[in-house]
Amino acid sequence: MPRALPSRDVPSRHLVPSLSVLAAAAVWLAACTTTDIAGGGAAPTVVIPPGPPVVVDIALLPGKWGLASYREEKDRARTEAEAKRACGNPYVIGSGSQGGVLMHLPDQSQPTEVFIKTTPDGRSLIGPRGPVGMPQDRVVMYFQGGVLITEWLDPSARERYGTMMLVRCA
Amino acid sequence: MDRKSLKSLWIVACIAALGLTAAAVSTEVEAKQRKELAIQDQPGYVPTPEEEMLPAQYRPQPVFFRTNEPPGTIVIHTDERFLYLVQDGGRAIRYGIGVGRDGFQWQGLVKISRKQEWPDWRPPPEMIQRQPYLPRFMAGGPGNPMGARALYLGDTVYRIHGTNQPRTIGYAVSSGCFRLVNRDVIDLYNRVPVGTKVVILQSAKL
Repeated sequence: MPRALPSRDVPSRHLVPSLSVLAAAAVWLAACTTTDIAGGGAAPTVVIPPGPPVVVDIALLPGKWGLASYREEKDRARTEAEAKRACGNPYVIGSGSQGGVLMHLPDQSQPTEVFIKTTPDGRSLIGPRGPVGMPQDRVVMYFQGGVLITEWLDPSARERYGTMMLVRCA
Repeated sequence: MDRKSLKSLWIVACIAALGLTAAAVSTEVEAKQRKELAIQDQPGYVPTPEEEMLPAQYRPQPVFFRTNEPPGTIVIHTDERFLYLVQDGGRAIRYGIGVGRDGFQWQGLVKISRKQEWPDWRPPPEMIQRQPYLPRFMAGGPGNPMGARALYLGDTVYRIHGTNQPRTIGYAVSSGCFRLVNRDVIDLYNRVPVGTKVVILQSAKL
């Protein structure tokens, strides 16, 4: 049978106390830092694809972006043109309440507040609170001149959606 | 009425009942075959080779085919869920296809205006609304809902194309395009040039 896209699960009752603890931890973490919650030397839980170190200023992310994707480098230039054209139906990144930004995790219909996480070797990832290299994180491959290129760390999402390109709308 | 007549009447009634049951089962099967498949596009999904093994009737096969169309013509029978590539000698190669949902089916005579390997895909706006995280444009490649090849039909928005959802073959699922599994659309793509005549037939419904 074809594999269905994973749906968003509803937390069961017995998870509620755990979520409360996580929420408290999140508030505590928010008090410690705003944009960098790398968690020091915490080991990534999934493999981060190789790439150059990229610095991302989270303040530059909120706004409207054209969103497109590609798989092969030869398609990058025309994907950028298509992403610009997609500003007619833009992807909107909102500002979060805790210093992050609101973006979608893989296959989630509602946005989540995400933050910039950095690795010891200077890689930047965008993801929810937690250690660097969570499956829900995306690694930034390029961020310059209003173009943001990311790859999902979750192998399934990366396989299905390819390399995601966001181009800032005018 | 004597016992013999009663027995005859009973046999006739049984045969009639069996006939009605068979007709009902046949209609049910037919309806099931033609029903719409409630499935959304799965952008990025790459089917396994096993999934691409279609039921026997939908695999490409030579068949006898009576038509006045010349060899090389494509004839699409929407209701049958088959695409025929007309050959010499009253034969055709038959492919299983997925067709448009009710309200999205059409008929006509067009020509293949363009051929494209690994076509790009743009999710429809209503899909973006449901899944805002989807790219508005996805460059062609494995996992693309448009599949491995596309044959553009005249100046319409419709295409004969591949799919990353083999289980939709035999169903009414699309917005008016005709889909084949990737292996089959590659085979068809290699057999027909730009300019090929395409006849789309749609039987009248009672």
